[in-house]
Amino acid sequence: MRVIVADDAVLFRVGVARLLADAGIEVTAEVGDAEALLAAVRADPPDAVVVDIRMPPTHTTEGLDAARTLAAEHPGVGVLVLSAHVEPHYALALVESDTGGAGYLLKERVADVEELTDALRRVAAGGVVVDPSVVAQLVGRRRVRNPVDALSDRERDVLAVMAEGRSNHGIGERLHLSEKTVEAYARSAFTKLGLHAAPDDNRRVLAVLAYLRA
Amino acid sequence: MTARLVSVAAVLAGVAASLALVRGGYTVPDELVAPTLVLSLAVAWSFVGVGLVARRRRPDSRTGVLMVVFGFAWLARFVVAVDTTPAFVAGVLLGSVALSVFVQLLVTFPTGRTESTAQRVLVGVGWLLSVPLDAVFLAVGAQRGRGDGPPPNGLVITPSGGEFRPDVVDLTVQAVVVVLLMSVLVSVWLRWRASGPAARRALTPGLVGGTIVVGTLLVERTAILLLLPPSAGVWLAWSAQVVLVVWPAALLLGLLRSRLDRSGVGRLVVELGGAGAGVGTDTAPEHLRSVVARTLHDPTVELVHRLPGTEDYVDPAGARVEVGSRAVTFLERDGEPIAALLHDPALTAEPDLVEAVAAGAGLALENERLHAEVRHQLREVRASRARLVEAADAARRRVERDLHDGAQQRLVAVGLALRLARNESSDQLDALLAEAADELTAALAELRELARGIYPPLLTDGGLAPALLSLAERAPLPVVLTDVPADRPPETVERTCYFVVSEALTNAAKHAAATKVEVSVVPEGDGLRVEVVDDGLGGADADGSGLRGLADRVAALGGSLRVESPAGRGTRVTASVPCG
Repeated sequence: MRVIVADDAVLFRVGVARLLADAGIEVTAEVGDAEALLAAVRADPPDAVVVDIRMPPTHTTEGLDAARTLAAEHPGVGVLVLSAHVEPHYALALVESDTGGAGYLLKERVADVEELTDALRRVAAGGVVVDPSVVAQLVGRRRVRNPVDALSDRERDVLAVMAEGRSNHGIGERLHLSEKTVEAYARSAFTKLGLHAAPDDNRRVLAVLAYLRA
Repeated sequence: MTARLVSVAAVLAGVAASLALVRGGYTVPDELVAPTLVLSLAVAWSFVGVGLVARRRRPDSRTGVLMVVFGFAWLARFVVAVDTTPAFVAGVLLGSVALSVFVQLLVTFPTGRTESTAQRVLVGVGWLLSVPLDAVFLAVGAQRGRGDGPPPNGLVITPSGGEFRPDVVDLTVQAVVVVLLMSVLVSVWLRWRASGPAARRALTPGLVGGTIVVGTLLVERTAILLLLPPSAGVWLAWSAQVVLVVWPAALLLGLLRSRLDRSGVGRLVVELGGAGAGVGTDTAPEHLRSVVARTLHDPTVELVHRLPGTEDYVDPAGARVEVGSRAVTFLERDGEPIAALLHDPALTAEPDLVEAVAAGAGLALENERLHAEVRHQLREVRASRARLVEAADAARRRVERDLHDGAQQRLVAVGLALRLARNESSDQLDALLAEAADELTAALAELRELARGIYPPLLTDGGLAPALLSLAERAPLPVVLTDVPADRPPETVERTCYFVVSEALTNAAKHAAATKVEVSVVPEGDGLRVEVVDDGLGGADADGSGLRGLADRVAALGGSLRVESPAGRGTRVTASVPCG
């Protein structure tokens, strides 16, 4: 798998590149801002990019903007945005704008190289990745009448991992359940919440996230 | 018309009195006829004439009428000079009416109306001592005076025969009269002492004259009681009559003093427009006040201005003032009070004068009012600026403390763990590294929350809607967002709205024990109205540091913050934030 790393903090960028290289991933370019990232992708499209949400010149959400541009210009390139904010708003903005692979992870996840490479593989394959903290905030929100309270613990777990962007197979692995069991939990959770089964995994994630945000 | 009739009647009564004295049938010493007539007519006509003027110039006061009545009562005494029994009876009965009217006049000056119980008692006793007492006097034996020598009752002032010895009845009557006169004096001067400067100005001329008359009468009566030489009594009685001639003029002066002050209003306008007015400077308010005080002759006058849109009044320095503690005249513009004069209650009897002064000072007042408003705002701004600085400092201290106690401590712990790890065997190494990793994770989460609390980046990137939703999602209690505008107001407005909601939510969660909060942000005029309503305990302190800081923040944008928090019925925080 070929990857470009974009981050203005040199130490961090070099560290991530080194981690990825050690994990057997080919880092084709290391860049310091969104402009350079777009140029690098145009010159030699990789399978995926790792991009910091805050970069020059304004240090706000340049990474998200770059992700949007890439989604339009190179839908085949997966984009993994690293962020310091646990903000569902940003995560949803990212995965909604990108019909291809897109992911939103907290920066500190890079400490777990397996989690990072797993996320990269999933976005490169066109999947969706949402950081567990973001999902936890959505699922844990206090409500006057919380429909999520109607779910059993297992159903809620399945729904949360689903919202992180995993397929039934992935959910089963994470929760040590068979795919059939996951399917059954997912179906009953959807029924209780009044959600319709979506035709593919990405849209299913979006539906669940949108539901939890409402 | 009535005045002319009264004048004619007074002239006729004077002529009749003169005829009664000269041709009444009693022998009067020739050298006493002329002075007696001149003085008596002077007193009577002076009272009637001046009384008529007073009635015309001050129709609201009964003093003028009382003066006219006194003038006629003074002449009526002459009936006794006619040597027939009915005339004698009538003369004796009417003889002391003048004294009763005099008492009433002095006690009730300048309104001519009894306004207190003390006044009513004095006036009542004065009347009891005249006709009823004279009737008793007639019945008991006044006959002794009739037929021999000059008529009784001091109509003609002359030394009594040396053999005159007052009996018990005489002494008693005189004693009561003396007590009455002294009570009148005391009451009148007590009233003077209790009056403000403006009322004193009107009271003084009448009271001084009245005091001299009463004083003379007192000494005269006491002289009889003390059996002083009769010549002293004669001299005093003459003096009393001379003073009586002048007294009506003094009464009129008192009545008209405020009228004369009208000319002062013109002076006031000139002075306010002239040099030294210094409009807009620090001395202007005091100058205006002193000119108004001088014109109203009330040095205690205060000028207060209404804060627009409130019921509060402030003095020129901008401090709040309770109106209603003194007499108040409101100055209105377009039917709305814009200012108020706090003055001596005596001036309420002169609404024309106060209003004339107010009108004369109107422009200067309006100018002054604007200045007072500006000064008040300046004070508020200064106070709020000071609080903003304090709040910023407090926030800085909090951030510093959080960093020290939280993230920094954890990072130190990580460093320590790593240092230890170098020296350990491999199985302990794993545990230490795991611990270090846990500490790091916790430190990062704390730093993240800390940074977010200082300033939420999502607010700038995404605006109010997502930022408030994010607040709602992480709140420790259910938050329902009912309305949030989709379009984006200016950033300062957005930030202010956000912090209002954030602080109100924190309060609801921390102090109110609320189970639910409703948040709405709706357009209002050219701005936004933020409402945060919880179902908690209520009783929130709007002056607590959090809410006070919010109020300052909102006020800095020209908006206003209201906190309704009745105990047991939840808290509603409403902020109106203009976008201009």
